[in-house]
Amino acid sequence: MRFGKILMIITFCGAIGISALVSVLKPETEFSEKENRYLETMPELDVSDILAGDFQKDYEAYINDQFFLRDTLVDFSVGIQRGLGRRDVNGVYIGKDDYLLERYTDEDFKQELMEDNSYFLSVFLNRMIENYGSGHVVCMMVPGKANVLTEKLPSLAEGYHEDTVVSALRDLLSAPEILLDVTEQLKSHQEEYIYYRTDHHWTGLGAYYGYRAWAEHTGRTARDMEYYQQETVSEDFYGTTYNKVHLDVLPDSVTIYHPSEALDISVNKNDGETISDSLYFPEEIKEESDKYRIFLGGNTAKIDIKTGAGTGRTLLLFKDSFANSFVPFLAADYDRIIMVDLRYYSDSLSGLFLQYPDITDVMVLYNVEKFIEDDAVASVLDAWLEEE
Amino acid sequence: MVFSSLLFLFRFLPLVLLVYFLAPGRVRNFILFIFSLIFYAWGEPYYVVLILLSTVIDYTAGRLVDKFLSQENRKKAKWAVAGSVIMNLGLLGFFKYGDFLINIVNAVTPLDIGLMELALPIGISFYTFQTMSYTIDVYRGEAKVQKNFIAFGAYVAMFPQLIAGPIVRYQTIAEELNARKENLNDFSKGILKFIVGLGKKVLIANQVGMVFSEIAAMQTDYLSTASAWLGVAAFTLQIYFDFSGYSDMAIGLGLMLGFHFPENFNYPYESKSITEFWRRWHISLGTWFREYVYIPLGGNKKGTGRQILNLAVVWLLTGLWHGASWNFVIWGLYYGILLVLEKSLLGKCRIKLPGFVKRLYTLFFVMVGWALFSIPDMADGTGYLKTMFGLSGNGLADRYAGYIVSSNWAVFLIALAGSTSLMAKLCGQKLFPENTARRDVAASVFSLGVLAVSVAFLVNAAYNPFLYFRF
Repeated sequence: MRFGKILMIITFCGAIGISALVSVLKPETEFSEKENRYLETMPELDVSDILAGDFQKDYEAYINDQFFLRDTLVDFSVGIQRGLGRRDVNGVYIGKDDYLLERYTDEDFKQELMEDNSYFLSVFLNRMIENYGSGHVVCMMVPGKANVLTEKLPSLAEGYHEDTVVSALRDLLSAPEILLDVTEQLKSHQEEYIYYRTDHHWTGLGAYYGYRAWAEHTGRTARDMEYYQQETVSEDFYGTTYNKVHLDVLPDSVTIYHPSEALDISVNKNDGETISDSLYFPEEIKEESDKYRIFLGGNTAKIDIKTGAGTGRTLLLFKDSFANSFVPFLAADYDRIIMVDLRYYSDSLSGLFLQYPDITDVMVLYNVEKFIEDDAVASVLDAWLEEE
Repeated sequence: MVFSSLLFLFRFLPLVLLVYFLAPGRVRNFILFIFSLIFYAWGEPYYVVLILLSTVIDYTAGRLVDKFLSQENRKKAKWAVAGSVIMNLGLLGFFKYGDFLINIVNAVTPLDIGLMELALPIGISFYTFQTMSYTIDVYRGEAKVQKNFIAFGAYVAMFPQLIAGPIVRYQTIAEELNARKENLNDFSKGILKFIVGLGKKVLIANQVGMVFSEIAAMQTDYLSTASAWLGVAAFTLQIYFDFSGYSDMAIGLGLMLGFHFPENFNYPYESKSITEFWRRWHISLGTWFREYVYIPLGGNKKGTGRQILNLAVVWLLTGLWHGASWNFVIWGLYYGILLVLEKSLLGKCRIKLPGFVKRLYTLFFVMVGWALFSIPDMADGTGYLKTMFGLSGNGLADRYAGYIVSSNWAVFLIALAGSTSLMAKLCGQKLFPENTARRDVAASVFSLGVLAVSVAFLVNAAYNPFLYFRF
């Protein structure tokens, strides 16, 4: 009996003692491949930080980040939750056919921010409608993966109620018809490879169907798929959704599209920071695990694209990352496309309109969930309204 | 600092145990006191002053009461007790109820006083109640005065029960403070108790808690009656496993260090009446209010009218103790009324109801109570209750409710089973009887397993993939 008690004590004290020692002695890991981020390292001791409680927070983050067997333990936890029949783990639906789909509920969004974003975007769009005419303004809302690939969801699972967001925005517009919701068009192609299995973005093909919907909406003729030459640039892409759960699923392949009649493209990022003659950036994905960066090399504040298409039209595009794979299809329709990502954009928006006086068309393209959780939309547009 | 963190499990606890057991017995109170202050100051570097203040107040009050009593001057002794009570309630009132009172004043008078917006010092509701109990016990002659400031400080700040109880009355551990015998048997029992509590918190409370917080955050138009009940069911399980898990961890840590704290929960959801529920839920709080409020007010000895008044006072205070907002007041009075009704009506009717009907009746009212309790905003809470009873015009059931069940049924079932005494009876008595080698080995394996899984869940919760589309 006495042996039993001692066994218990040795097991427990051994477990916490040895784990503590190993965690302390193990060399620090600086970068986590699986999480794709730099890990917290031992914070410096500083009396004022301790009094403010900052040191304690950093130290806890450090212990959590540097805990030994960290990746294994995460996999273990995900495995147990799966074993207990959970159909979503760490905010990700475990879908059919190797699809992982982000799960959103009201808890993920701030109601107030949601309303502010819709309000400020509508004020902006109404002003653009006034300046350029409703025929020259489009606001395209791209649905989240779980709202389109409904067949891939676990049974009874559903996407976020995006329709309330879209209709709330529509109600605020002076010309409601400029709002283009592409859910139905994408849904009708849901058997095809239109979203990556392991990432939240749409694929080039998904963006192409978005482009078709746009062309139909604006009365243009969309080019057929045959017009483009396809090139597969990666076969081993594991995206952001995968990073949250690390389940054993097929990697994605990334395909880019070249038009048969090549355009004379010049890309200028942030007024000369990067210059390129292509919309695709193969260099960017050699080292990076995020293969979606092939499209325009990822997000940045401003990308000024000249196409030499000779259409006499210049487009101002406010956008999130979903636009990066979409713009290549749009290139032939404009001489110039100025892409602005409000999350990184710190200059004045009024200045932007002065810098590009020949803007003829305005487009806003966002994924619905990214739009409602984005804290830049309301603040940047609010600042612009104050300037005006 | 909380017990269910890697910081506590793999830094603080090993260090405390190491230092504590390497040190000779006479300095162990000192070690406990210092480590407890570090434990507290970790999250609240400035508020640690408050706990020291409360300690000094009651150490002094206790000495004074003792001195006056030995001079047979009960009046002066009473004043010393009053001083302690006023100062402790003053601290509690200022930090916990200040803004609540200001809001009331602003609402009923033309005044417009600015809010203080102070962060609530962790554990203040627990340690002020504990220190008051000491001075009162000394006055009543139920406890001996503590002349050693370190020993008294170790009692007040004792990290195992500092943050979330149980509320340990001074008389309960007075002897152990002065002379305790840590031993292998208690230590190994303590480990098991601690691990059970850790598992309750991390593996059950946190999991069902995610279901509750998701449902509570839903836009009201999208909430169906079925989802609302699922939300309350999740909260019912969450609060039990969270709170009793924390108490178990406290009791377990106490045992490791040689203290015997009272049990705080006794399978409350098995109760067959509301009265019984409150005898089995947060027992140390109920005991405190009975010993230091209800009985001194006269209890049930001064007629029915007075008893109802006394119950009203106790339950108003119980409600307020849980938080400074109106929903807690209503929640407390709700129980006050239910208990009076139970005493007056059910006591008289002699119809024998089957046990499961009584259990369902109790659980129903407890769940409605948790709905009141869990949503501080009165408008939100009213809306939620309306939906629960199908009065909001939202659907009875929807796809969402079905999904929640389909994805969480196993966790719910485990939680449900764990909230009854079935598992304890099966494992503790049938499969692994007390004092058998089989039990000891099973307990070791179980502890290691639960620890490993809990740590995995803690690591996963802190796991935070970098969402690179933002940067």
